[in-house]
Amino acid sequence: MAMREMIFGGRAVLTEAQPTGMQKMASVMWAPMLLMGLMIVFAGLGLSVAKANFASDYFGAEKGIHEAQANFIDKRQFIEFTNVWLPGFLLLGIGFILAAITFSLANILGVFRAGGVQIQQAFGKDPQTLTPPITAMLFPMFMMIGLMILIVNLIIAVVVGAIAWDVYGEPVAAINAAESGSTFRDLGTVNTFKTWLEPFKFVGLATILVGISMAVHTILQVIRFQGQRIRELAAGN
Amino acid sequence: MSTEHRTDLIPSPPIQTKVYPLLIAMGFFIVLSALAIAAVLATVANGVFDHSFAERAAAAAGDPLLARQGDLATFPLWVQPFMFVGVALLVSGIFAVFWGLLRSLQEARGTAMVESIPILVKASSSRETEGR
Repeated sequence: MAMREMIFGGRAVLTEAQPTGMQKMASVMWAPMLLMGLMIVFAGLGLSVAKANFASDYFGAEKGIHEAQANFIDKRQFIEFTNVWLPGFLLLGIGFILAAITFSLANILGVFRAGGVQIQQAFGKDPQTLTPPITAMLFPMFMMIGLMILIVNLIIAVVVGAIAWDVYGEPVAAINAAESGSTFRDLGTVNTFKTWLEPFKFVGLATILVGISMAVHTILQVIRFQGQRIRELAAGN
Repeated sequence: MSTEHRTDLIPSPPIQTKVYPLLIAMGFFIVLSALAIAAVLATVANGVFDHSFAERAAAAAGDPLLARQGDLATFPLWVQPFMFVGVALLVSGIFAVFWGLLRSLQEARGTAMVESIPILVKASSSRETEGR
């Protein structure tokens, strides 16, 4: 019985037609999350355009010149620096947008909760509601864990990007000739981290998507509860 | 204080509620597998970049260093699409649960409203008449 209630939710009588605290917060938070996500994605687009311009200049010059001249080295430095962290930055933007969707779904749950109570009160019956099933308790956690993974990924990528900045601040010939020392070690660090950071950020995205599926399933359970309850009201319960 | 969860007056949950957890679990597992593969590949990258550019360039056929460089070049080519398969399964899972939500709206709540609201309105208006 307790396990069944934990998974599917039980039912409780409410006196006020109010969403929960989390649902109230969600009704406010979706807009800043969406705004932040869009800002990050557009900032990423701006940086990508700058990077494309630098790449165009860099590869527009002869190999011997772009690999050795200081102004071209600066451009390569920027390209290699952003290559490490920009994908994670863009995916963080998408993560914020998906978090806004999660908050909107929580907001919908709040509207169902308050509306359900109002309708039952209008018919003069006990205003019962579904107590939070396990999916309702898990989806905000999954959203937060997903966002945290994306933020941690970005922090690591920026640190590795800074190392890449140091490495690629040297002429290509010097990087290729390095057989020991900091440039040699740092190049290995950059390439090692880049390899696993790529799927790591997708784990964050996947975690948020799992949370969204749970939020939708919670709405489904509320819909079914309301169908059950309305039949009970008609039966005089 | 909550009471028991009851579903005796509505149809059983749509099949989509059973399918979507499988899609979500498969998708998440694939993304985690891609991370595990990339972690192994990162150790390979660490080994490869432990050698100088000249050593890497001079690696001959049959040299394990050349084989590891080959792994570094080839694995990401399929690991990334594999990861997208995982994301696609996750999104399909969300689609499936939305489909189940739609069916629940029609079959559980919609039908209940169509059948019950006339009864409730009738009962409520007869109560009002008795009150006058």
